[in-house]
Amino acid sequence: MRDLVRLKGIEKIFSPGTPDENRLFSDFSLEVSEGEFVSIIGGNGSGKTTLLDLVCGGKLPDAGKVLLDGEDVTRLPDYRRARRIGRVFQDPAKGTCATLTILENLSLAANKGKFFGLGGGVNRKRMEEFRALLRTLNLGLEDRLDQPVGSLSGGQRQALALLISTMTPIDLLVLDEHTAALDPRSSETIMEITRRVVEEKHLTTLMVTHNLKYAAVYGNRLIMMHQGKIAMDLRGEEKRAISMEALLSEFNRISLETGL
Amino acid sequence: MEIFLRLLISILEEGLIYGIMALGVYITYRVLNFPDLSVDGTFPLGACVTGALIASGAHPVAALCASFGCGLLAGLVTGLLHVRLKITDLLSGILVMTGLWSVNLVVLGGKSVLPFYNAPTIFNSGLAALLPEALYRRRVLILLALVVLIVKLAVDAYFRTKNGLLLRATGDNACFVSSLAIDPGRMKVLGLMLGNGLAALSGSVLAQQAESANVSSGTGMVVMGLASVIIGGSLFGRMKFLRPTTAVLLGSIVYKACLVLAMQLGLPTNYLKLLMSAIFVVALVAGRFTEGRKTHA
Repeated sequence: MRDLVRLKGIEKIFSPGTPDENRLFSDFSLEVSEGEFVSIIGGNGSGKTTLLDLVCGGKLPDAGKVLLDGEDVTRLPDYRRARRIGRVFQDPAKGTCATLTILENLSLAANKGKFFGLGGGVNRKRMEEFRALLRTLNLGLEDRLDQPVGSLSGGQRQALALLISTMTPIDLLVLDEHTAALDPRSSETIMEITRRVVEEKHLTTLMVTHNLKYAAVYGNRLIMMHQGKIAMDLRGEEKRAISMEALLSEFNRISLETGL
Repeated sequence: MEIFLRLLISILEEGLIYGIMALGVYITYRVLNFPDLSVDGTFPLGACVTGALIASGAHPVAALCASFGCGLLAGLVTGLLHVRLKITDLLSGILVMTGLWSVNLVVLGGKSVLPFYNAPTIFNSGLAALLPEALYRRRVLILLALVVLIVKLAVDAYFRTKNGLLLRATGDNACFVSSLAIDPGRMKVLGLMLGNGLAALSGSVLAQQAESANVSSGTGMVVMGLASVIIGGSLFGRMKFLRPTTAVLLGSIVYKACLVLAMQLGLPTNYLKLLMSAIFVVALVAGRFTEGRKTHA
């Protein structure tokens, strides 16, 4: 299996040269193979979200290399990497446009990677295709194509964001605590949709979550981060065997060791 | 009655001329969420470029196009200052506005006013000359309506394209635009270019109507444009059958009507700019009030 994501010798220092200087990553490395669904857990400040930002280009490392499918993207800004990466954020408002309608959001998303010229913005010809896609969410959004996305609930918006981020072919799906802002029921729905989309499209996935249950149940690899280091990395059979209780006690043990 | 009609026509004329500029402010302020102050410089830029060109014998329509082009360039500068050099939005606008003052003087050959009476303009040549006798008296209003209609339809059409939709998305959620593999900074620059292009076009139309270009015709344009956008939004925004661009144009006419009314009631001309700001504040607060009611309903 080829490595889709490679982080090599990453250094990341926040507020360098000030009393608040925080060296989060030093000589950090990680390889993610094609087809892996990696759940990443860890306490606050353990570096999980920074890790995603380094992959997506929201933050640049102070040293080290970021490779995406073998290509060095270390200095590439986020929008240049976005063609191959789909990302869903914790905040449901970030992945969609509130003032545009569902149809307009989907039309824009369907054009990702192509030229945004003076052709018709809303593609009525693809309406049926969009409807069919929305129907798979089972949220009734297929009948609300002309409503502004701002009128949807957080869960509905997040489901739409998930659909939008995976609409065009991508190499990597990045989920940044994408269920954390939702109520328990919507979280379950979003996780099921996530599982289905990832399986159907065979997407390599990085998922940061605070929910140990999701980390245990979903995905085929599990990473626990602690103070910018990988404290635990389980794959295959080991990952399948781990229970949520075992994870919780491991999580507590690591946190207690450092008195957090 | 005759006086009333004449007042009404002058309100409509001015409302339409400045309405073009207000459409530009709509793009930068409403769509892009960018408080662009460079408009105070790009509006007279359009007037000055038009003055210089028509005085040297250029075709009036060519002057319109050249003004629009110069406005695009000025907007490009504001955009690059903000996006590439990371200067704040307000300051970028102020810098361009200030710099344009000199540019405008240079364009007018060092003079602050350049009259070009009796030279061909869009209001006395071309299409205007073809109007039948009965309509010729109202030629300014007719041609203005035509120009504004073309601009408005073009803006409406643009916002229906892929690029226009993307511009709306940029003002709403830049993060979403990045995730579509597009640089939101580039879209911002484009929006500022369009907004300032329209402001310069508006200045060109004003110069052609007045048959004179004036470097100081831009003072207060930002306030006027914003007031039109906000009045249009709060008075007509909730009428779903009206496009936002129509609401902005109506807002511009209502704003002009308020100013003319105050002048007719005997307010000395010196108080005009003060009144412009005062009406703007009222519109802003009233707009917030109606919005507040909407969310509580």
